[in-house]
This record gives sequence, structure tokens and C-alpha cells, in this order.
Amino acid sequence: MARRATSGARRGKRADLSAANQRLRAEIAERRRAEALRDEFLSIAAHELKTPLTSLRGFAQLLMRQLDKDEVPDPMRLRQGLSAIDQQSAKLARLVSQLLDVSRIDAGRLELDRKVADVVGVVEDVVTTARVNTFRHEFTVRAPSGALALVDPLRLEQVVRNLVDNAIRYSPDGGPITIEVEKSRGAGVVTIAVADRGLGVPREHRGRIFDRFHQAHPERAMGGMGLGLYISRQIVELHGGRIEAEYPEQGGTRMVVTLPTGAPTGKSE
Amino acid sequence: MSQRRILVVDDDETIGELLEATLLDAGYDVAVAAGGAAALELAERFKPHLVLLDLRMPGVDGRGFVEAYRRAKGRKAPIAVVSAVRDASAAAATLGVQGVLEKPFELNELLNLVARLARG
Repeated sequence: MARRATSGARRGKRADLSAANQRLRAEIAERRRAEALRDEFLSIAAHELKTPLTSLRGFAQLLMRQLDKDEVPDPMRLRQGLSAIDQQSAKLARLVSQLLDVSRIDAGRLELDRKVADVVGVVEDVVTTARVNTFRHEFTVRAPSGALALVDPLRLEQVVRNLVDNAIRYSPDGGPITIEVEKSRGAGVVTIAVADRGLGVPREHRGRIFDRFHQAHPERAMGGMGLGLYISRQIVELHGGRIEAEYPEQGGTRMVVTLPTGAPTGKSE
Repeated sequence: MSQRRILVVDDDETIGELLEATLLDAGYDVAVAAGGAAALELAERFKPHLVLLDLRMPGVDGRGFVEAYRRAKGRKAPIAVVSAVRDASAAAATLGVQGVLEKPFELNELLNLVARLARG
């Protein structure tokens, strides 16, 4: 009797050990996956940061070489160089801001500075800038004359800019980009939808597009660090809203942000 | 020596402009392609003495360009990889190209590399 009980206890222990072993293996596999993802991210981030740095240093050196030769710099070349330095330093600043945002999110310190703002105005400002930067895309904005909401206008602008930038980047052959703003007074929400007819998102990536570091088209090397949608989702959720992706039959992607017009929570989780 | 022709292949427009401006100032004839596929077409007409090649590009990337360029008929120019990828030197060694320059670089390094490889 006693022996049977002991052997039963041993079997139980073996089962416990086996389950613990399995858990450990799963944890190790998960940790390795996270490490590989972080490694891949660091590699992509370094590439993305070095690219504008190359232009910054290069154009500065090019202009200095002309001055060193006692040449009066050609005004066209001077303009080209200074404009590149201006644009590339802005790009670098955006990339660094994204990295800082991720660090703030990790620490639960991403905060909103909310005020009553016109969502339509925010959208129109973003589209005006985008129009200057691309000739291959045709923008259409459908919006009421105004849509007031209690939002952080700078953070909202960051979200809309990210969605519009993605629409441009992922329709490399150009095409229409439609931005719609709708307000629903009854439901107390305002929605912003950004639609393109570009590459869309491959089915196997659709569940992960809001994940940190995730890139929907890694094989295409289209730039970016895989942080834009992750940060956008955090900002939208801080507002008490939601962000969703739709994949229309005619192709492309439609990103829909729904924000309450009133007063949601304040801090990141 | 006749004017040497340099084909720049880089999907980053600003870096393409930088390389073009630097090499034009140094007296080279320069053509710029924004990707591997366009570069293969351009190489046929332009007949470069040297190709400066980025690695990470949408569509036909640096590796794809090297493979297709080597298969194509005609005289082959040396290739130098100019890239911001990690371990660009190792990648260049795998591809068996003649030179490598990691971004960001000094313009002097670029011009020395080009002078050495485009000599013919």
C-alpha cells in the first residue's frame, strides 16, 4: 500500500516536472523570439538613423569643401545642400522622437495635454504638408466644416501624420488617398479614416500590424522602424478611442480611428 | 584618361543627390538609379566604370542587382557597396564585390574609393 502510494507520488512529481520543463522551454523560446525581434529592430533602427546622418554629414562636408577651395558656392547647390540638411535633420528628429515615445510608453509615462480642438483642422494641416511631399498621390478630404473634440492636438496630429505617411509609403506607385472625418453627435465620437489603394497588408501580417517593431512588408525594405502604428494605437487608446485596420475588396488599406469627443482617461497603462 | 562614368544605385533620394553632387564636383560623369531594376536598365546604356550600390532597397535590392548584373552580357564594372546595414563589410565580402563603404562616410573616403576603383 505504502509502496503504491510512493510510486503514485513519484508519477505525480514526474508529471509536475514535465509540465515545469515544458513551461521553461516555452519561456526560453519566447525569450529567444523577443531577443531576435529586438536584435532585428536594433539593426533596422541603426540603418534608419544612419541614412539621414549620411546626408547631413555629406552635404555639410560638400558645402565646406567648396568654401575651402575659396569658391563662392553655387546658389543652387547651396540651396540643395541646406534644404537636404533641413529635411534630414527633421527626419532624424522624428525617428528619435519615436524612440523616446516607446521609452515613455514602456515606463507608463506617455501623457496627453488635452484641449478642445478641431479634428478637421488637424487633418487638413497634415494633408497640406503631405501634398507638398508627393506628386504621385491624389488626396481627397471629406469632412464636415469642423469637428470639435477634447484631444491632445499634437498627439492627434502625430497619429494622422503616421497614417497618411503609411498610406503614401505603402502605395509606392502613387494613387488616391482618401481621408474622411465624420462626427456622430449621438454616439459622442468622431472618426477619422485614411484609405489608400496601395499594397495592403499580407494576410499573415494582419494580426500584428499594431505590434511594436512589426513591419508589414519586411522584404521590401520600405523604411521606418515598425513603431508608427504601435505608438498611434497607444495615443488613440489613451484618448479612450480605438484604431482598426480594414482591407477593402478593391485593395489597399483603410485605417479607422474612433475618438470620443468628451473626456477620457489620462495616463498610459 | 576619358571621363569616368559612375552609376549610383540608392533608393534614398537625398543620398542619391549627395553622391551625384560630390562626384560631379570631382569631375565624374554620374547617373543615378533609385533601385536595382532601374539600375540594370541604366547600366546597359550608361556603361559605367564603377557602380556604387546600396544594399537595402525595395524591389530588386543590392544582392539582386549584383546577381543579375553578373549574368548580363557585356563588360562588367567593379562594384562598391555603400550601405548603412549592419556588417556591410561582411555582406560585401559575401557578394564578392570590389569595395565597401559604410554609411555615414567621409567624402574623402568616398572619393578615394571611387578614384581607386574607377581607374579602369
